[in-house]
Amino acid sequence: MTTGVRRWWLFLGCLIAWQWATSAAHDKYFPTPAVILRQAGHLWLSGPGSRLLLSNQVFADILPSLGRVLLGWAVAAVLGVAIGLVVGRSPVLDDYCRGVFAFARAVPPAVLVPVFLVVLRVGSGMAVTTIVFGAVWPILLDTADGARSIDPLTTDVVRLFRTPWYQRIVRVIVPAAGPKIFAGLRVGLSIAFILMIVAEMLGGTSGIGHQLAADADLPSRWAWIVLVGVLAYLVTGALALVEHRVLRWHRAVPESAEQPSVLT
Amino acid sequence: MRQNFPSLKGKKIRQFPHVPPAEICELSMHAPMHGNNRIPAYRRSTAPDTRRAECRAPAMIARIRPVVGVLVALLCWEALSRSGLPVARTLPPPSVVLVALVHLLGERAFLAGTASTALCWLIAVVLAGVLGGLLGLALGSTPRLRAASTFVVEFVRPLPAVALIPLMISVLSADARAAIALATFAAIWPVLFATLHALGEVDPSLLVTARTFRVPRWRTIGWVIVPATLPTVLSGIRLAATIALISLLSTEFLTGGPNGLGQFIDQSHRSDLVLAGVVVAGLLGLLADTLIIVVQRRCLPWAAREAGA
Repeated sequence: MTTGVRRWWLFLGCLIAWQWATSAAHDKYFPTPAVILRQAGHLWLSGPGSRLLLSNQVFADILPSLGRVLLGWAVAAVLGVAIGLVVGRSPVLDDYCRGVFAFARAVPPAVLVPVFLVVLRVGSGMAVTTIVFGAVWPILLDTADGARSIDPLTTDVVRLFRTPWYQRIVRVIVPAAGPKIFAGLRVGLSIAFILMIVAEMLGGTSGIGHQLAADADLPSRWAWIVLVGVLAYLVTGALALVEHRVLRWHRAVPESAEQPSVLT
Repeated sequence: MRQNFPSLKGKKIRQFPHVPPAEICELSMHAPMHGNNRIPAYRRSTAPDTRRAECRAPAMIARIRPVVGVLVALLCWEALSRSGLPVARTLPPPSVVLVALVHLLGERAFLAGTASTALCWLIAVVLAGVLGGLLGLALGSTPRLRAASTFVVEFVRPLPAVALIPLMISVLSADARAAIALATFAAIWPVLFATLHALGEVDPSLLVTARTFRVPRWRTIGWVIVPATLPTVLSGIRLAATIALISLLSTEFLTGGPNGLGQFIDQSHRSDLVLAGVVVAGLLGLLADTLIIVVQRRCLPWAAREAGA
């Protein structure tokens, strides 16, 4: 209970302050949270009871957008981890690819949307391609970094026991690079959300980004922003849960009990 | 001293710091951001990886290889766009893009736009670095505030800054202020989290040592905590620079606002010009990335390993 209070008071305080400030200011650009909530209910929860009250927009905009993010991110994850492991374990390949990867990572993926628009035309394919292209680099480079920095003692032992290559990958390399892989996946996911919105704003006929740009009504605009925040929060939260579960062994290394707090 | 302990007579006492203290400090700051950083670095194997060193080609070849890789990638792209495949028909080959790039670099308007974007970017990154660092220091040093802010931060952080673009335009009008504000908002989180993470990873033995010697608090901050956290914070700033550039360019070409690189990419409707703009944006990103790594290596030599040297 106390931990709940400790964690929530600032959030509730911010919410109350927001409500108070916006209702006092009466600015049309800043509607009160209550108005935004009402508008959100009107936008998404006004459908028939047979569909759990969900309105058409949920099926036409929100779910497709979410699908694009998850699909693009999943493809990027598979590609990034696979290529990253190979590159990270092979110094020669690492040398050859370094220049290309450094440049590809530095290109802000959002500016590629116009290019993909020309090459792939408007549609889901364009959005997913943009997301894959943007999210793959942090995943790939972090995975390569993790695979590169495996303790040489470990790899020597593995070689000594003549562990077959697939076991070596699944039981040694992937777990050792695990923390790094998840760091890359996290960055990739937030980039995927950014790119979903940019791609849909520029070249989409549906989706959250399209609605954000097209809906001129200010409370609706705020409602869409809050929705993006909630969705991103839920998806990153789910990833954090998976990470917590998968990397349990990593944290199992005992922490020193008497770790002093910094700056005391 | 030794005579007081007859049982130890003649035995070689294993002195505690096997490594001189200065080296301990240096090694323990090598702890990578991720990986097995619960174990202080000086207890981990620090022997050079001879096997991998053998695999590494001599410095000369190692330097040529990335260039070869880039050239091969460019050749593949050239071949793909000249192959006439349906997907590649609209993709201009790199030779055409290169010509467009050379033309652009002679245009004053384009150079001015690029300079304007770079300046906005610099402002946003510096703002994010300062604000994120200070916020991280404040949250990291007061556990109660940190616990309370966790939920707010966790909720606000995943919100993509680009979702705020339409709102920002209607509130602030589409100018450089809106672009800088959004880029700062997007870039503050990596710095904040890197700072928090780094504060948690400061080697406890360093703090205990400082406390044992009754080093004043401000000196502990200046001589222990800041040097120990700076490499990680700088890594956070590196990530922040990437994210700031993404959201800055997105804002520019979604709003058609300040006359920057993003707007140029949006308004030139020829693919080769767009790609030339993309190349310039990439070079800009690469330049900043290299700059931060050089700073990390020159000014913070103890961070060399973290920079992925």
